[in-house]
Amino acid sequence: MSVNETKMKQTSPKHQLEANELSSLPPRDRDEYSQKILMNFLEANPAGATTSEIMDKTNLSRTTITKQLGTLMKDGKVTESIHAIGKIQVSVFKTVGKRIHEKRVKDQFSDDVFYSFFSVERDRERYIYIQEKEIDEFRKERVRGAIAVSSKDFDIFIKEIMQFALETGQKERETERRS
Amino acid sequence: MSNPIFKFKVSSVDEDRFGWVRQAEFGQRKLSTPVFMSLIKGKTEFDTYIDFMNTYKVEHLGACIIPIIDAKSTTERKITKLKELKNQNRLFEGGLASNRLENFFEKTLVGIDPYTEYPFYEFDNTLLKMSLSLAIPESLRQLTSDIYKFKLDNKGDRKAILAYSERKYVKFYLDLKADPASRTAFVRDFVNSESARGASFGIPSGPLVIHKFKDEMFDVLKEFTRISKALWKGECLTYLPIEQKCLSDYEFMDKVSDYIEKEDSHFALKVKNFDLIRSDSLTRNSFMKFEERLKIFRKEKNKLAILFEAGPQAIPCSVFGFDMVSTSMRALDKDGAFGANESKGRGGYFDPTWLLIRRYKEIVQIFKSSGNKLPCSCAVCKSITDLDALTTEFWNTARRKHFLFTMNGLMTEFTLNIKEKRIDLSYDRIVKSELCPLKRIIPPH
Repeated sequence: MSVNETKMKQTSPKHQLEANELSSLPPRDRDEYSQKILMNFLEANPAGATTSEIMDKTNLSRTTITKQLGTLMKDGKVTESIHAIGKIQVSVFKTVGKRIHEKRVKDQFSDDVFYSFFSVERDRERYIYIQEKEIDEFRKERVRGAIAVSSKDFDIFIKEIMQFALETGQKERETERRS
Repeated sequence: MSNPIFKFKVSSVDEDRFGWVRQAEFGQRKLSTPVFMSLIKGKTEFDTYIDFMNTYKVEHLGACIIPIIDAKSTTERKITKLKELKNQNRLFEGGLASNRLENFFEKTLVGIDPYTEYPFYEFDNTLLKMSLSLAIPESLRQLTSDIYKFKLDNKGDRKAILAYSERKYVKFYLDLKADPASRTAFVRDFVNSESARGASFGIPSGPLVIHKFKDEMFDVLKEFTRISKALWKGECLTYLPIEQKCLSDYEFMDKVSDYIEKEDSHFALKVKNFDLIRSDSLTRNSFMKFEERLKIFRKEKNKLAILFEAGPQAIPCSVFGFDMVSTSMRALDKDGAFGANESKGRGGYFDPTWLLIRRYKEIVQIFKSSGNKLPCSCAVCKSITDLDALTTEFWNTARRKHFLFTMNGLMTEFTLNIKEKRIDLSYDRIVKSELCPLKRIIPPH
């Protein structure tokens, strides 16, 4: 689907602040609100959107959009893909997918690390999305890394992981025996 | 404790004529409608509720509502405790207690009621508490304090008090609405306050729709709801606190119905001092019409309808009209008065057959005449064999737990009736009780 085609179907988030309301918010609340609006917009438009398209449909400024999309990408919630239209390159932003279920699993050895399992829907396909998160020095959650595996490939993926763990486990034991 | 962001997922399970059984998922929480939401006031009630929810498996009780001015002694206290326990969770005892609390918050939906209508009402203790509560924005505290002072200075002059609080209250909200920065700050403070105090979903902080100023106040309410929904990260309800007088205004109720149909979120209604038993038939008919409109909204858009402070209407409205209903844990008492003052002794007992609150004296007679048995077979009532041996505190806790059991039992009964396509039995249950006049808010079958 081309960037122009996606623009036709874009819907704007229903509940938004007016520009003068938004400017009266303190910075932290403004950031949180902007991220919420961006996520709502991208979830409602799964084909993705460019910064200009987001600007058209929300009351957010280009600077805010760019800054907050950067944060969302760092948190593993949004991805960026580059599309070429002639000689111009355009960034299209998409959510990782619409989250259907969420489960938290704690790291057995560290209280500050945990994994979030999500079932997400993207482009009418289901994915298992796993994030490794840590609690940073400010007691805030931070995503260290993430992986999305299509539900179709999940069985093969698990088999391969098991196989890999067995092989590497075998190798570790062999190394231990030799030493 | 950060609140994970969830939204309700509603699916239909069973249907019979005007009634449905639906499943509402909210993260890991699963609620089977109809749901009874307990209105929890104060530390002791909250502790009783947590203990009850952790001890018994009750399918229709997994949600509660807490006034924002009571959040300090309830959710706020428990969230702080949970954080402390988590920090020292290496100790076995701490681990166990934190598990119970965590389990409660994971399984129970908590709504924090912003109580924005209260400055207009005349409950002195609530007003004083409100004017001192840090959970509400300073501007509202100031308004409450002014009204409270006026009430103290003009004791007995009811007319003057009403006129003053109405004028102050309406002006306060209209002024707020006129200034974008002030209205956003006001709503933001409430959103942050509810969220920090453990609310699972948002309840907008709009004003009570006073009938005399219905159009102006309804506009303010819509504006504040829009801002609340924009700022809440997860589920935020469309919330309508109104005076009972508004119900008999067909034209206004049509506007309300149009509004909630257009909104894309679930809906909550609070009718102040709601009592249709003693009201005229016009009000009952209008309410019934409103419920009929809600039915379309609920069915076609798969939305939940919630009735806060439902009073005696709680039971009939869970048969028809609403998916969730709330009243105080002390039973179907009227809002504000909250039943007889317990500091003077033992509170009343909810009679599960006649669906009314009996005075303690009556219950003693019934107990003795039925061979030292309470007229209920729930786990709490069965364990009571000697009323004289109980302390007042024990009785007052027991009567709350008994009420929770009774409400869960009723909701289970209504669910089964729908499953067996016998919703007429739920109607009959109301007809054969003291709530009989409220049969008029259920469609004839």
